[in-house]
Amino acid sequence: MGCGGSNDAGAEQRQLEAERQTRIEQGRAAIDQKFEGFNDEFFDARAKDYEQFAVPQLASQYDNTEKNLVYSLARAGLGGSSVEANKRGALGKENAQQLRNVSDAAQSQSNDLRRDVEGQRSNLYSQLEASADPGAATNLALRAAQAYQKPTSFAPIGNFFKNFTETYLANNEAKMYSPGAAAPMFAWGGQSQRLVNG
Amino acid sequence: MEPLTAIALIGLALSAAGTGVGMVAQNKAQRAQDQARAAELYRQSQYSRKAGAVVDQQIDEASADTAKPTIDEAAASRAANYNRITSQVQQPTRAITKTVSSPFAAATAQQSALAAQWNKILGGAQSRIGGQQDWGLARNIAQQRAAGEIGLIGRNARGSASVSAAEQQDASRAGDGMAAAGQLLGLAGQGVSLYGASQAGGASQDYDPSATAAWGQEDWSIPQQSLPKMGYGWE
Repeated sequence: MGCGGSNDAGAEQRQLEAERQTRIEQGRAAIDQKFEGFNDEFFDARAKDYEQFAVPQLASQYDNTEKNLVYSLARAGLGGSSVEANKRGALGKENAQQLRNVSDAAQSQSNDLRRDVEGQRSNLYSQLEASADPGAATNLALRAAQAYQKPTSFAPIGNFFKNFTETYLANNEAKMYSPGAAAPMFAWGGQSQRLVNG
Repeated sequence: MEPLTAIALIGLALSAAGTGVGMVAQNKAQRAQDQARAAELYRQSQYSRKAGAVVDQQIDEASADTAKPTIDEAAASRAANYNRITSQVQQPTRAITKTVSSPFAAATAQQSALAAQWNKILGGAQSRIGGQQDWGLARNIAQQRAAGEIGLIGRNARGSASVSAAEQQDASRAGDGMAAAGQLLGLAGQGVSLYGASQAGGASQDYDPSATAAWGQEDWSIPQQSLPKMGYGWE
């Protein structure tokens, strides 16, 4: 009873609001369910993939660098000397550093992917709250999840031992132009060089 | 009791009943509004408590006590990865054309030992830095989720509050039916009272036709009065 309107308008609105909130909860649960596969194992796999991509290249570059070092030292008549032992130690340190960097880069790849996935999940939540449509949110979540499951490529890797070679090349050049300096100790990629005094 | 008195009393009683019912209706509406308001306040307090729990959890997880073991664990994981990746790589030892002398072997071993020590120190520091970054990322993600959760709770609270206005309006009409009945009772009481009053008024004066002048014989003349003299007596 009552004049000028229904007494149930508030109850109806309350019901609609409750249904809206329930739909959003359902939608969030659906999104979470689609994103269940993005767990620690998934992100660790990304790191492993990067390692498998980078480590062989690092090993190859180390091999070349060591070879060039040995040849360079041999040309300088320093093979088997304490200089070679010293340079080998330095190269070993650089190699270990680059291995750690590869490991960190692999972890960064994993972390970046984790951040992206989380951002995507957050976007889907926002869209769900705007639409209150769990069906649409589920479809979007499914598509996003499938996109992240696809293999992706890694950026090309540069020269891991660039710093090492540049340091020793610079060192050698400095010695070449210094009076009484010994022969270049580490100059690969070119012919043997010897500074002749006089 | 005389009939007219009874009618008057009934009228009064009906009016009083109408007023009473109206008051009850008003109280009913007020109670309904109070209940609706209290229900909304309770809902809002629940939303607030829920959001507070999310914030509390974030604070707990971000405390130094929680951060330290998390960072330690992440650093240990990175250090383990360093060791694993290093052990996986067979560092090629290029054949040395010369016969290796004993001093060279000793120097190489010494340099290798130095390098290993150096790497141990650097690796430890690097893993700690990485562990802190991992912790930072975990915190960022957790905070992002918490912010989303709190945002959702806030929007739900606003949705509930917006419904509350309509509920208040509904509640204000909760006594409408009873109020209408009260008004009807009041009107009935007034009607009965007026009827009783009119009956009582007629009964109190005995009508005597002889005491009134016949129609058309009333004296409508103006009573003659001597006017007072005014002014300076010029007549």
